[in-house]
Amino acid sequence: MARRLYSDLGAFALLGSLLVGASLLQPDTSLQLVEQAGVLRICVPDSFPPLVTGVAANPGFDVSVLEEIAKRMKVRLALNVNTTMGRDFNPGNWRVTRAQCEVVAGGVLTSRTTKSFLETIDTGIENGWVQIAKSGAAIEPGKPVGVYPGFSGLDRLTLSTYLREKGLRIVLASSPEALSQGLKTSQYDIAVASSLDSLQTANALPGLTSTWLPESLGRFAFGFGLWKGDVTLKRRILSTYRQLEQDGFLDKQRQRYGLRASGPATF
Amino acid sequence: MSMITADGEEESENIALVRVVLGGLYAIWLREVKRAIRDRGQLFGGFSRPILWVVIMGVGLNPYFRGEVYGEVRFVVPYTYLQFIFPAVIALNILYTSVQAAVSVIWDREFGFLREVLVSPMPRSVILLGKVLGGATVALFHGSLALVLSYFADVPISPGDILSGLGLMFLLAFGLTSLGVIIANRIRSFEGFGVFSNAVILPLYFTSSSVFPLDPALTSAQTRVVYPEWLVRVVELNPLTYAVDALRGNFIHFYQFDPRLGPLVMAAMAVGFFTIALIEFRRN
Repeated sequence: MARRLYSDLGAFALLGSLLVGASLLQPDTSLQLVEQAGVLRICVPDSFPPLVTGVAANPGFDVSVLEEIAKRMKVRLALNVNTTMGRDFNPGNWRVTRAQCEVVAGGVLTSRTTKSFLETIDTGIENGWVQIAKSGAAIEPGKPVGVYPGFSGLDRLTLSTYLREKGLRIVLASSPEALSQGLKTSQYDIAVASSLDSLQTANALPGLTSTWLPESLGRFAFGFGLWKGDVTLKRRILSTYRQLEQDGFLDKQRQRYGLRASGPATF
Repeated sequence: MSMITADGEEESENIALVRVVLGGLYAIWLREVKRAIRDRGQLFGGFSRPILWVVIMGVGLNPYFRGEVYGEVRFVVPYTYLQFIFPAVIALNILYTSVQAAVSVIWDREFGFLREVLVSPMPRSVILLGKVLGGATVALFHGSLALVLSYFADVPISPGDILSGLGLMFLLAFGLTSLGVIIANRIRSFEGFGVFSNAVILPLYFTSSSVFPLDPALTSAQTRVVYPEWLVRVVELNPLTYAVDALRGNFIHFYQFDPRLGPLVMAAMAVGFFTIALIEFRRN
């Protein structure tokens, strides 16, 4: 009886250890390849402030964080600047491929659609339509409102419908600078832009307040994108990212670039 | 000194009867579980299937479903192939074990044990319930073995997911064990059962959207452009499709169909197959 029990338990232990052993195998080679090459390559647009600025002293939140992650992984960070990123509505036309980089940063939305082709790591920075206003200004029918749609990928049609429903007169701005100019010259007292684009306007014109427009107009989290299937590299970057969160590095970077973990960008 | 009334006697008789029935149910359940544990072949199958399907096939096919170009969607599901097939492998392990568990009906009939049990005062429904519960318990255990590979497949599972998952897995196991009994009632030999059960298991599994996704973003008409209509129809008619979908929804939070359909279809399978099995078990 006891012999049979030991035999049953032995079979269990043997097969169980086989299963546990299999669960510890590496599912892909993505991390191994980065470590062998000693380089973590990232694809970024030339400018998408404050995530990527193109300025060496303050390269942007995404670049600064990935620089630190690469340092802790004991590899070098290499930037592959792609000027077509964000310039075309069809991301397929940007021709960003696995051969160019392991990580895509500088404005990757961690949406369900993005997850169809990328593994994503959420950085907690949100983007959505915000209203920036001079103190005391309020939305009233018939009033002009400056709008800079930008290249953030937010839904412009829904925004347009919302603003028309409020009875506002839309004045389109072609750049963040033009939007600031409109506020400065009192062409309008209220402007609408994406949360990140609004930062540039706020830097040019102190004293503005920002509030989210309704969530139904679309609000997305930003993050880093890794190629779908690169599980081992994602795990390593994610664990390093969590270390950065714990030791306060991320908070410092958010302050440095005027960002919040959630909510509209701070001015 | 206590008085025993006629009502009291009747009540204590009922309690004794319930005890006997529960004791019998437990004995049959325990026998099924012990038999399965000591069946090394079945045990090996339970451990090896997740390894073969997740570790070998999942990793082997994963590169063909990975991202290569930004914005180019090659695999419509917002998960990796490993994550996608992980819940289906749980269903596969339950499917195999549940149906194979019913081989004990043939075994018991062959060696006369079934006759001895049937002449006992226990109702046939309880005998069948004990057998089905035993088979479902073993199948639930085998299904849970696949959960060991959740880290490998990059599927983070919370304690809540495990609890609700076990509930769904048991419901599926109960229905499929009853299906196995229905098959076993019609087959007289071990060899015949093996061949027939494989002929049921594999088509059921492959046509349950377990290894390829029906894009939930597409309309019914669009899906029929991507896949031939007959295949879409077969997948939609297969009840296991909705069980796999429910497990997928539970473990990776991705549904291809209405989330209410999975538990409903599984409950209907459990009740329907058990009722048919019971009618046939009584008749035979």
